[in-house]
Amino acid sequence: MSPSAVSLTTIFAIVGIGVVIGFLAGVRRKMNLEQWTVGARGFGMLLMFLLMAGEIYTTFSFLGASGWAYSRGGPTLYILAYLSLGAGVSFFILPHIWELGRKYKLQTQSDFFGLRYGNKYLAAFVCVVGVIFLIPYLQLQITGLGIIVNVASFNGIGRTSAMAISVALLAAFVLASGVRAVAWISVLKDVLMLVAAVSIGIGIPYLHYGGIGPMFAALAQTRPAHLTMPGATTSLGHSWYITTVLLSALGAYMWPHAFGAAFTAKSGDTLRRNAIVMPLYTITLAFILFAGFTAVMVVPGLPDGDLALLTIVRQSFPAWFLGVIGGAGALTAMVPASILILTAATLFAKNLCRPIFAPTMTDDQVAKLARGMVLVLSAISLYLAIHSSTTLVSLLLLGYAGVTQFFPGVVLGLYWKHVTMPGVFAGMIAGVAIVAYLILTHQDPFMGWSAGFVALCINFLITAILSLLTPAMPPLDQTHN
Amino acid sequence: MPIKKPSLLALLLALIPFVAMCFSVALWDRIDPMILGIPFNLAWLVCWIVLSSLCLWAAYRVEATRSKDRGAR
Repeated sequence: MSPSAVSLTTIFAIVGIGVVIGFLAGVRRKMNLEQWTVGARGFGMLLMFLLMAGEIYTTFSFLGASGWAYSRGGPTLYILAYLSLGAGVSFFILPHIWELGRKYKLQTQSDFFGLRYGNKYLAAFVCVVGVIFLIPYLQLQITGLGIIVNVASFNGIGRTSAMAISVALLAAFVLASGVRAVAWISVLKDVLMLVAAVSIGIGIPYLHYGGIGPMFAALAQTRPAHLTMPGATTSLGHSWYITTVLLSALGAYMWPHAFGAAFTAKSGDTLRRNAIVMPLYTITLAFILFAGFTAVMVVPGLPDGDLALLTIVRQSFPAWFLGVIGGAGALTAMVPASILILTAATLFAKNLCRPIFAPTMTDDQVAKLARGMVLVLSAISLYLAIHSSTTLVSLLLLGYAGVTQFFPGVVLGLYWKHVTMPGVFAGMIAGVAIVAYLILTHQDPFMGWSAGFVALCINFLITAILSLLTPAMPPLDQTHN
Repeated sequence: MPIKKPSLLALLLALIPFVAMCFSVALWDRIDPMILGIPFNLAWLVCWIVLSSLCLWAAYRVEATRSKDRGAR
């Protein structure tokens, strides 16, 4: 067999095993809307950890982080910081969200806003913004899949066809299984990722430089500036680092899917303990950065940094091992992508269409519409992935800039009794508008600050001021008893 | 809602990693001294990933003791 046939066969075998596990997990249960989306709130510590880790450890961390280590250098370190800090934020927020979810039968983030602020237009707005900013995250996964198949086939399969194949497989998979399947494939994915990350993180520097220490010594000798901030960039310095880490840490659980995952837990305590172990999960990312930094010296001059990891793997290891890494990477894209599609489709059907356009829809009809939306969203993301040239990390940062605008409404909604609907609504509109403006006019970073963080500050300010100026809202327990 | 506020001690414990991994970046963003062959900034962050997990564990203990006290009353 040719090298490309070997690596591609290995990838498809790994993905095939994953899909079989997924189908088996879904097949024995008859799924209603609640089963399909929140797994009937029965996830214990282990499944919960896998589900959340499955969402957080994506193609972004695999190809994107190493890609930035390669093309940007020092600034990529923000990725090591923000996930741990995000876990700390979740510790104080998610258990309360979960409690409300159980009490009032909430399934989505938009449900939470509808309940807390009693306004269906705010809930619908949250839903629209959530779906819009999930799309770059979804696009990121599909781009990643395209890169994997493209590199593994030794450029025999073009990126566009590679992405089209992946998306078709993904949509079929999501329609057949639902959230429980996704959690179980995470087991396979996590084990493979761990093996892949450690073996390439240690193996690649060893093969080329005789070890991690000598590799860094060589890089510090030839390109010392690459290892600190702003690295190979001019604008990503320390103020960018601080604002980006804050933006991402506060936003880590504002993603509609991460927020919604809280509802699948068995108890609030599960979520708290989950937050304690979550940081440890990001240690493997350091190994992936080692590989990215080695690539700076071994495969210089790539047109696209996101290709760096797989290119250096291809150059350092036999084809079957490239297949194993590619397969791990493919699952790392497919698992989160399934969750993203599932969330966006459910949000669209349940929190936008039903309340605003068709209040008479039954749960079954909503479930059907959600399934239709899976196809639509897959197609949109595929289209965007084909027509975009942004790096994986930039795509994720775009999404973060958007979803973090939910943070004031969530945290003040939980902890501040003076917060009001007009305050939150206006703050969020301003935040999203500023993000859109700064990013579309290419002003990110803005004066050295992450654009999303600038928007978040203004959002907070408007929310607080308007909340104090508008009449207080009745406590929730009175309106809902 | 609003729900019961977390204790100040738990909040402070959770804030430690923010200071160490985020706000203090200017102090540790350098290559030397290398730790086990790894640039100082990278080694610092890896070390704090573990420590931030410990901080959250401590915050968890604080909160758990507090709610137990309340239950006893």
